Amino acid sequence: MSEDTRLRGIVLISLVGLFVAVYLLLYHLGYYGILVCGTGSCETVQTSKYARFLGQPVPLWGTLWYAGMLVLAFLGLGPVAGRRWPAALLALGATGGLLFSAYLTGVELFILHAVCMWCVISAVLTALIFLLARPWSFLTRSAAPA
Amino acid sequence: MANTKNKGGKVFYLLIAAVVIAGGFLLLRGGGTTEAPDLAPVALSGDGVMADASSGTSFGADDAPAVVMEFSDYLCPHCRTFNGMSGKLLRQNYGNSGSVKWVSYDFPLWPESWAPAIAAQCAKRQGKYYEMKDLLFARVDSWSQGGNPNRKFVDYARDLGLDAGAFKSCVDGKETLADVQATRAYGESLGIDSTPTIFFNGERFTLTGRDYGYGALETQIKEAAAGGGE
Repeated sequence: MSEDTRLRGIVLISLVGLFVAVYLLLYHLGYYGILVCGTGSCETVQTSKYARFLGQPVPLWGTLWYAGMLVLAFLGLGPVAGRRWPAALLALGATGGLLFSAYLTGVELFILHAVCMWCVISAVLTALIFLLARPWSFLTRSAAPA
Repeated sequence: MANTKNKGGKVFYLLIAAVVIAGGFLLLRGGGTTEAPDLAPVALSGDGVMADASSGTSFGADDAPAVVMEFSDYLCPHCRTFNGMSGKLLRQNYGNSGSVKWVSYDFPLWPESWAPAIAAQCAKRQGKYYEMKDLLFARVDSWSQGGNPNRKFVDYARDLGLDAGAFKSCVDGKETLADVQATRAYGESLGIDSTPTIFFNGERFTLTGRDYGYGALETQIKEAAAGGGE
């Protein structure tokens, strides 16, 4: 798979993730429909104390992360194509995103015992971005002579 | 080769357009979560006093033209926001006007929600239910961090000037558990399964909007006071 194809994949997946994260953020902020807490799985997850990280709603962090990955992938495709730093930042961001996603999935499975469909979708998207960003190959490449 | 690349580029931009359209649809449609479940109206007696208000905590005039029933959970962030943005303000602005009778029911959704509800009912015994309710919502990030929260609840009781010894024995002995079970059972009998659930003069009032229903509730209270409400 060529670098362009991988970057295009990251753009598309990040765009999907961005919409999911913005949707969850707007839901969290009360822009959609009825403002209630219930015992459904998604509501349990989104109204739990784990729905905030560093004082801010988790969907806000998701929105920023997907937007960042989207911009970096676009930069890698166009304005700074061929430069190493977008790929390095993508690899770094994808690794951080995967770790955070694993933490959230762990909270859902082992602490809240509730799984939200939107969170699963976001976790899958994050894993796909990680696979396309290929941080391991970046590390291998950086170790090799230029 | 260049042709293939151009073709790939077109597919890429078509896919972007498809994602944007699908994403826009998702955001505009709001995930289809705009409908509140139907709940049967609550029976009110002829003079506006709740037919079954005994398990709730109320204040305001018994003969008020507007009766607001509120079912809430102390761990529910929407209840916290509703209490801070609408409930508290409406109680402050209209509670002593004679136009509203406000009835609150603790409706714990989760196992961890029972302890604060018991604490609120213990404060009710000393006449400070609403003061404790406001404090529990304001400090939820502190007492919900795990472990037994009763020690913190006793601190809050001290802050409110309650008899801390009596309050402590009340929360530790779960003396008001039956009261919470009663409010919860009353909510269940109405078909409630989420919070905050509000009834205005017996009809389900759906909370929407960034002001958490303040404007709409205020309008209905004024209409009821002017004789336009049921």
